[in-house]
Amino acid sequence: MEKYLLFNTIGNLVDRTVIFASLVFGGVIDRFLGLKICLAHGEGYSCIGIGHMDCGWQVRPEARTHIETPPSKYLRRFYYDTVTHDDSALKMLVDTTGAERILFCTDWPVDMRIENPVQRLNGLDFLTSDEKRMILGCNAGMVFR
Amino acid sequence: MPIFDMHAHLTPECFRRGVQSGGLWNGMTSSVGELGNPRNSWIVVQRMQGMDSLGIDVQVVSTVYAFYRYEDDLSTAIAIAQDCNNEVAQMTRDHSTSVHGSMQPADAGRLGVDRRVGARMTELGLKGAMINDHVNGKTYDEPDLFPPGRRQSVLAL
Repeated sequence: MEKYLLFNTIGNLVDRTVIFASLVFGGVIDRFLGLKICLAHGEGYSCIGIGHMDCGWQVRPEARTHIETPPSKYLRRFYYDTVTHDDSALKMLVDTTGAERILFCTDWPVDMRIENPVQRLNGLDFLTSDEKRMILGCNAGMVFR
Repeated sequence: MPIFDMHAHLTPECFRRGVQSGGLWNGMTSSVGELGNPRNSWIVVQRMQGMDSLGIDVQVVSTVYAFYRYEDDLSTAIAIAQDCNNEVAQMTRDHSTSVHGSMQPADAGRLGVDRRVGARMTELGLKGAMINDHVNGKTYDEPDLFPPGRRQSVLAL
């Protein structure tokens, strides 16, 4: 994974998917009802992989050790950031979890930060004005409440 | 409505001072901290100007993962975390309307079991914690990391 920056461009997203899955399958989210977690880097591959996780939960008993509902039911228990570097990935995230679970983030000042982030988010035509306001600031207010 | 950037980083000045001219800071060298990026050496005024230029009102600031030294001996990890947390906390006190801070636990393996972590977060005026995805290979579903009955606000890197 050291080659080609893959530890970052792939590994970072795999790590985020593993933390989602371990918190969900391990029952931590059910036990810590007040816990507010934001998965950075747009949750990694959790949304695109949630079908596999649900299928595993349905067909294999070891995947049901700690949880009584499929993993997809937990997607809206997390917050996610906007650092996807791809608008279609962000759209999928919003479509899957709802705009109220998305937090505006830039990863500033690293070299892989989002450039012109406010302008970029405001330019997304798949988000309504209300959704943009939620992502840019209102949702943060809910997190810190 | 203020615009919040919930994921922004700080390379602590205490580290930068310590490693300048080839020095060591708690065993760390200048090879970490991405000091080749000039923004990592910006003073707070420059950071604020950068936020203004981007249209961001509030940054939620955390150290970068290079400072999460779960693999170090605990005394070193505590020394690093204390310096980093104090610097982030000072920044939030000095610029409370523009900066919120995230805590860096010295040992994320204690995050769920040690009430002092939450107490320290409150004492420093920080809003949550930034943690790595695992603690030396242990994920957070391990029962000794997150037992029942605790409530915290956590941000995961």
